[in-house]
Amino acid sequence: MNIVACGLKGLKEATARPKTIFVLWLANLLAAFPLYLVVSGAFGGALGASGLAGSLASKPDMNAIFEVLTSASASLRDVMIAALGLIVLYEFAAIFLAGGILHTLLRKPERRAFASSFFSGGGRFYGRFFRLSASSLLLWLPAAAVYLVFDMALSAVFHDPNRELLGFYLGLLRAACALALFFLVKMILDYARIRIAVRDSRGVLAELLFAVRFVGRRLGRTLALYYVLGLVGLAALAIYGLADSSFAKTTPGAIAAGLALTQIFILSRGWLKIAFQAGQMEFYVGEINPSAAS
Amino acid sequence: MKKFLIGLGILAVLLGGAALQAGLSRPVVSYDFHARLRPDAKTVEGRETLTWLNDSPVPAGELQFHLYLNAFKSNRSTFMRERGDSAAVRPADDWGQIVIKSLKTSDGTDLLSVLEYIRPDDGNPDDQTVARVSLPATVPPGGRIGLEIEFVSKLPRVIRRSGFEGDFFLVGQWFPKLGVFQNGAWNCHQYHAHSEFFADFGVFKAELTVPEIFVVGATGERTGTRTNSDGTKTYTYYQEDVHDFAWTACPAFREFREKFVLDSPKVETEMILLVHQAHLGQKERYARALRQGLEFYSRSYGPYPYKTITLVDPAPGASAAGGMEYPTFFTSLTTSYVPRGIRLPEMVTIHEFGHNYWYGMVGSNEFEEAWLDEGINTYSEIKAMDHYYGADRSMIDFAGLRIGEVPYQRLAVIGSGRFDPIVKNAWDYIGGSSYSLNVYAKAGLMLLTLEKWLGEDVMDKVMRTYFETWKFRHPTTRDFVRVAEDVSGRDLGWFFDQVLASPDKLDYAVTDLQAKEVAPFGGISDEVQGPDAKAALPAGGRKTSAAPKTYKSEVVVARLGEWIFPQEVLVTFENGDNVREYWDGRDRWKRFVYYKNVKVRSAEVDPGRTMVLDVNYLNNSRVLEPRKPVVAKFAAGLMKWFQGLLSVIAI
Repeated sequence: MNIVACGLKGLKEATARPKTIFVLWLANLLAAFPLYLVVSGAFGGALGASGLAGSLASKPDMNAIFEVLTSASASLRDVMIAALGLIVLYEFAAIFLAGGILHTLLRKPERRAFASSFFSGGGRFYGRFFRLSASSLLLWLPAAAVYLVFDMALSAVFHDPNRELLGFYLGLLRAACALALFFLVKMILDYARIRIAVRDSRGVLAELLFAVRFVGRRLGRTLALYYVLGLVGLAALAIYGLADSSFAKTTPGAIAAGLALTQIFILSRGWLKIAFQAGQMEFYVGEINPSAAS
Repeated sequence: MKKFLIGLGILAVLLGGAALQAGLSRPVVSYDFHARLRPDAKTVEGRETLTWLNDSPVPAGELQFHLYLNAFKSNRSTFMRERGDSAAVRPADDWGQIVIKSLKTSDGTDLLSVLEYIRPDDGNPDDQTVARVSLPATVPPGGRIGLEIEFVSKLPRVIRRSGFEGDFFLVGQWFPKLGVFQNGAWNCHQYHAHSEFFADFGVFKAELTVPEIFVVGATGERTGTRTNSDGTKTYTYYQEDVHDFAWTACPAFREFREKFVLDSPKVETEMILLVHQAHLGQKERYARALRQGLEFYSRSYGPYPYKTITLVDPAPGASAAGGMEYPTFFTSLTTSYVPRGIRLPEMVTIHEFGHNYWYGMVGSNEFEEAWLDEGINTYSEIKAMDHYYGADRSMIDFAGLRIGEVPYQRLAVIGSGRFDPIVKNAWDYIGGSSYSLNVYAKAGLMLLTLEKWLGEDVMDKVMRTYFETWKFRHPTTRDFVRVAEDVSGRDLGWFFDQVLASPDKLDYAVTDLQAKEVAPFGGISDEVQGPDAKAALPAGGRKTSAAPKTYKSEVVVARLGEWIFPQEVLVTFENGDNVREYWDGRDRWKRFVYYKNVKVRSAEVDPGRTMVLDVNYLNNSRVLEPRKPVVAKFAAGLMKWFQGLLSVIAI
């Protein structure tokens, strides 16, 4: 299968599914919004009533933020606990969303009954994808082991403390290795989910092992597809970063514009998430059953 | 004998007086070293000719020495126990010690047989960092005694201020060093995990022999070199008016020399930079920071008087040797890659250079009153860093992140417990972090608070006068307070008694702010009586449309901390009018009430940010209408970041 074609196909499929994108954005917003309330509640009284808020009115002054955070460390703790709780909840929600995405991808785009297709898919695959997430420890643990071996090998080969610059680059290399392993496991899980959805299979462990083999035999191409789409995400992030920096003021209009921009970015993340699934599904189908590929 | 000693004493006083006129300090000690570095054995074989002048009115019957390297002799030493390293397993080569081979008076009387270890601070029988020798004859006031000492110093792997790492050697606290004879007793403390040093001023000469490939730097001025037939090279150094001598050697050093000249005040010195070859890219940052330090301290406190200043860049892996000061010689700190906006090398360089003033020239007792060096120097460092790099970014200015030194130092103080005051014996703090935050951060911020209270000009004069008055002497906290009071013309006992002697905190707040419309008069008026009275009253207290509204505005300020500090309160009304109130800050709270035809808009305690030690700036001010957009932006900013995080981490 042509990697670029799969990537383009994925982007096209995602573009054709605005409702799915909307649901993903909404889920993200609903998961994050409680944090807004917690932060407003925790810091609102002390910060809003304080004249120090004026220091933060025009620009993000780290020195003033320091003061806020250190003076209200108990509030900060509450925010951290809330954030952790929300992350856990979102992980559960994401399992449901993955089922919904794949179920809609298996049908013609948005022809009818989107809600029924998306939510029934989420429910239909939830148990299996949940077990897949639990089974993914079988991948995360070896990945951690690979990282540790890599780390130890680097330390053994380059242990000269005199070469500090080398140490710095090795640190970057370690971070790159950790990220690469993280994305590799995520990608394998993507293919496992796709296979479960396409075959409506109930053998989660078997499909996970199949996905490992599938990716292992096509490592270059699966990675190429993943990183081609990843580049699109990076480009979106760069554009968002540049645009967001121009909304530093605290006028209601600027806050609203900044928030709106973030929501556009999150929409683009949803779009990309679908593109990943659709592109990888195209690749998978093309590899397994070339005649079925579009 | 007695007459001879008295005569000797008179002669010594006369000679001492001559020396006092010639030099900057009264030279109490004179050390002449001959030392040879054995890199393979990590040892220094030394011979020391020591002369001590009894500069007190009391005869001395014994001498006390610091043998600092014995702190690294075993895990039972006081230093190791205080560090929590008592269970540490270290390779044999990592330990250090100093062994005295021979100790004689200059007339040949052996003193080694009467040498005994003492533990004046904690009675730890395993600590050998202070030794005492009884003298065959007392040294009378003004008398001198000469000693010949041979010793071998085994250097530890770098651990706090001295040692080796590979072929890098920082040779500090390496020789038998006399304590200070004060008030009829020796002030000679053990080596503690969280204290530095105290010694008398004098003259130091050294002949240092090392393998030829080593590059050497040391306290003072290099007066000569000679190459020996055995493949070694001998460097000679000389320095007056200092109280310690340290040196360094490493083949990977690159030596850079640069003249530093300042016209006002007149300063002419040679900057010597010994930069490890792994850090050559940082050389210009070191040089620039050192120039800044020389300029700032000379202009602020007094001209740097020595002919040299040596900056040592510790080798990679030897960071434990970094950030240490010795007279005219200090170690800085960096790594091969430090982004320009992370000002670590600059901060360490300026800080350690600054010790030449508050430890080097002003000979503070760091065992007993460490803040006189570390605290004053932290204050000076903050001023210098803010001056050269900007107050809002003097620590970090990198990738859009800007952090100044004051907020950074405040962080430590805000988060601290109420365990220790600033003035305390260094080994009596509850822990290392309490020692550090008190003698560095809290003391530095205390002086900034004082500066804002007295005014910058007055504070500058205080600091200059203190330096001028006490350079090359041994001041105490009392002396600093006296100078501050004399120069400012104010009684500052209330300030120093609290901030130096109490572990408490400073926190003033605006705890309540409200404005209510005053209802029109209701009830029976004394002015209108009789049958017409009813007609004269506003019906049911209803407002008349013509009457202007009156608001009762209330501001409550409170003292939430223990320290008492007079307060200025700035009250601002809706029409922009300001009222400045003054409160002695003694009671737990104070209410200010105003009747005006406009509401109060905001109130701020300490609007000039005088109290840098205040542990909560957030509660210093209050506005009637909360700034919801700021909170919204703050919360929205976190939410945005969180949304992005969620979109990435979902598995």
